[in-house]
Amino acid sequence: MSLLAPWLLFGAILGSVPLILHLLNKSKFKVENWGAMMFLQSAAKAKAQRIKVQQWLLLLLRILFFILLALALSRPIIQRSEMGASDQPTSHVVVLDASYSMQRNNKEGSLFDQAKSRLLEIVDSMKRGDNMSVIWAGQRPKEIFGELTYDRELLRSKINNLKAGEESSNLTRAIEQAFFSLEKSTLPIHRVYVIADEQKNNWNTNKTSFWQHLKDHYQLKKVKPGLAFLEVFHEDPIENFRVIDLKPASPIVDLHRITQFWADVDYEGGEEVKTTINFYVDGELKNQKDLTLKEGRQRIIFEHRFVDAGQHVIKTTLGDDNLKIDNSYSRALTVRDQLPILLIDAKGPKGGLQQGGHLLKLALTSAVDLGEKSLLDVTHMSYVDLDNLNLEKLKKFRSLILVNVPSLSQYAKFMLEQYLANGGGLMITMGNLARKDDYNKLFRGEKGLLPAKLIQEAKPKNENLQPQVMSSDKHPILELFSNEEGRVLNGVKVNKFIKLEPAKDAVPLLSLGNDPFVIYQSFRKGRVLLWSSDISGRWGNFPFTKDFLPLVQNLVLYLSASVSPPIHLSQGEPLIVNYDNPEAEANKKVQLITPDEQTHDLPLTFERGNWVAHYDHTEQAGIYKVTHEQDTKYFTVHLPHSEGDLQKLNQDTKKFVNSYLPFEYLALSQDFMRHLAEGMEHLEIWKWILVLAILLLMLEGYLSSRFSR
Amino acid sequence: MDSKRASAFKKLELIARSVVEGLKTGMHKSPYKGFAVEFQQHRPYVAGDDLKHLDWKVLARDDRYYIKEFEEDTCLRAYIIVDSSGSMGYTSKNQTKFDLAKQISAVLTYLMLQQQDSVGLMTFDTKIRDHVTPRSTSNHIRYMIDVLDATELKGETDLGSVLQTVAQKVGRRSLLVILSDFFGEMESIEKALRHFSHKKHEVILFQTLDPYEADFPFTDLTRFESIEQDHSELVDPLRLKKTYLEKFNAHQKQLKKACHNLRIDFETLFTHEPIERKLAEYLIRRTRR
Repeated sequence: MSLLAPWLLFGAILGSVPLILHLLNKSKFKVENWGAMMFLQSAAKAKAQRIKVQQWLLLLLRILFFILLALALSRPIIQRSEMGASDQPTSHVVVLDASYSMQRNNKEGSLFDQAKSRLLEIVDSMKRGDNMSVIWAGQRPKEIFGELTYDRELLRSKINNLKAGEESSNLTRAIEQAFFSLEKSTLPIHRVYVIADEQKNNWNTNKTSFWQHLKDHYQLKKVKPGLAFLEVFHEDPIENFRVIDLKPASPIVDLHRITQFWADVDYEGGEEVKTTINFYVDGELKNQKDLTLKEGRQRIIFEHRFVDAGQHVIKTTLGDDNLKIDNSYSRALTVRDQLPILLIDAKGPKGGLQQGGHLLKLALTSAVDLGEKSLLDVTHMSYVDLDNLNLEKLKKFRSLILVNVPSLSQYAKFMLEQYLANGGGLMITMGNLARKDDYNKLFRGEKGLLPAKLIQEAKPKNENLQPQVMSSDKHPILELFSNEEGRVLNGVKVNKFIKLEPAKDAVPLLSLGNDPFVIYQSFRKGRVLLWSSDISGRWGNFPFTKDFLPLVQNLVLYLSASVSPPIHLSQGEPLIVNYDNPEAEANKKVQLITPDEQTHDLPLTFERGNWVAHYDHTEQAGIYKVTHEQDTKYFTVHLPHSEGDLQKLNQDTKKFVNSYLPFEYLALSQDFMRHLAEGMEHLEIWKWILVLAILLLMLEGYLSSRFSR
Repeated sequence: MDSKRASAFKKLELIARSVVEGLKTGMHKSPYKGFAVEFQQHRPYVAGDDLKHLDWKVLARDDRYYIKEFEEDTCLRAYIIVDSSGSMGYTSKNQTKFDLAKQISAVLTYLMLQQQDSVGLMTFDTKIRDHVTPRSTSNHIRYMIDVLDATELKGETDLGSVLQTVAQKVGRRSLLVILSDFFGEMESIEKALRHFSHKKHEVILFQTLDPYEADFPFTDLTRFESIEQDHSELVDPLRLKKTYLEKFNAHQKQLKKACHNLRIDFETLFTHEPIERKLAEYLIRRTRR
């Protein structure tokens, strides 16, 4: 027998209360000088033994009552096998760790193969009338057989064909799935086995609310399953290197510049280790470096200049270790030739560009750092012409910039939202013409696209106050200034700006004293930037300073870099491919080749103005190639970072888990078969003990009055 | 006699008188008859003898003058024997058992002195402590009450043994009135009573009890400390009550049976009951026999 809440057993100390009261009462009595002692003595002698027995019996009953009460509160459980119930038909549900850490090897081979062997042993131990289900514990757990099955041959055949997963494992969700599977069982005995390596991350101990949910679910079950965790050991010390990420330094990769690529490598192990790192572009080795890895993270930089615009795939690989799957990283990216940008401002008095728009266009199309050709292709338009555009035309531009635009029509506001929902970028600058009340309609109580509410025009408290790059959060936009956190933009003077009230999720990028100066937020799939001052030079000299050009270029590049739908995916994230061709017919298909070289045909469907193909089974990491007629697109799926953290399950984690569910922990090589034979279901017996305690109390009351007669 | 004692005596005297007067007014016969004396022998008449005692039958038969001689020259010779052991000092609320015994002694002494009987007194615990020779003078009651008042209640009771001693000590046939709670070994008491009966003494037993001794109404945990011995019992009275009453009632039954078999009058008086009525009832019953 064991206890789910053993600390409550201290309540048994209350069992000493009747004894204490008994002793106290013995000290409180009346005194009577008595003459008829001969009768009293005779009676006392005759009854002495009997009275003693009665008193001790009542005392014992009272003490037992408190002890039983404390025992009931401490929730004792006993194994069903103790009651001889292990030969009854049983439903077995096995949660099998599908994470890629199971691909590691120990002396006996891969951890996953060992887990499969144990699973087959469970199948072999099944009696007539038993059934089983297996939960594939990946990111999104699923029942391999669909439901509980009695067919042992089918079980063996499917289990033998299982291959190790490439995902991270969500064991808590898988356990919940196991409970749901057992709901369908009509058999009297239920068992849940979790077969996994000792990886601490898999147990999600930071999600206490979900564990409470699991506990509540377990409590509500009429037939409480026995729970066992069968550990697959990897005794060797942890030694693993892996590629965490591979990404371009710049938000936009284009033909006009040499692009830096950052490969982040993580190493967990005691001693230094030497390996090599390779860099591939579209499958071709472009660079190789020797590495000496020490414990921790390291960044290796590669450079490359693309010659063709369009979709490309970059990849980096490390040498071999015990867990090879996380030693490579692929990323699909789009290389740009040009980024079309639409610049919208209020028409000048004579119909030409306003000064602000002119200055901004100049800065964006400057040849600095862009080689001979400008990446940003800026189209200028008056805001009144915005109403003549439709969404299709607008989507051709990667970003829109509103420069001191006085107001927007309702149609224009609607279109901006749709544009952002399609992944576009929007920059808004203020000025003397911009009407705050009209722009604030885009704020809509933090639900709109505007990152902040416009309050009023203001002057800096100190005329020497200069804008400063925010250092509280490193934002991808400002990696340009990443070595200069908190850097003040020297020489910049701001005479006037609009005081802002930021939305909850908005990120200030530049500040002016305590006021946000440039602020950013995501809106649906797009990105929005709000510049709270004028860029014409009327409200300050920012456009004429050296920081203006690189800053606005990088800001616009970042706004333009959002890709919708995304091409670099997490495992399980749906792969969506868009085709704008309105001529495409509904029965046309696209061909998908997955990382394991399997080919799938995906149908095209027309959704919200686009032809779209979907693929949801992105559990495999690697490169997915989608072909439609002459067009080829690449998508990449990366491994989850957390799965590479091989920190082991420890006693604290086991205690945490057991505070919610009564798991038994079994080393596969030892107690496993014995437990299979004996059974491990638990029966909570606190109700019976409580009933017994109440019966004892009633018996005490009855005997007490009986003895008094 | 100081005022307190004088007052106590007056009270006792009043009780005694009220009982006796009550008897006189309520009775048809003289209580004398209850206290009979027996003819012993003849002796020749000498000048001056009371002709009342002349045996006229003998004169008629033998032509001789003989006087009847009785057992005692005076009428009755009585002893009041009072238990003065520690247990007689028990009281629950009212008076002690000994106080009751004193009242009974006073009433009977008054009555017998009125009848010109001689009355003596003995007090005892484990042995006879005080012995007052029977007298018939009217002042004798005062002396007897003095002795009773001066009696200190102490010691244990050895009733059977003491009564045996009394039986040996009292030579002539007498009336023995024994006042006690009779808490003692039944066999020994019975043996003493048989001894009295064998010696032709007339015995009356007055048992004085406290109502608590008969009812045992205690409920709380109590330590009962013996008045006579250095002994105590800590008991839960509720648990013990039934058995106590069984023992007590069995003892009472045995006592009554023993008295019945030996034709001894046995009366139980409780300290909370009015003595006049109970005593008067007994005496009336006795005279009607």
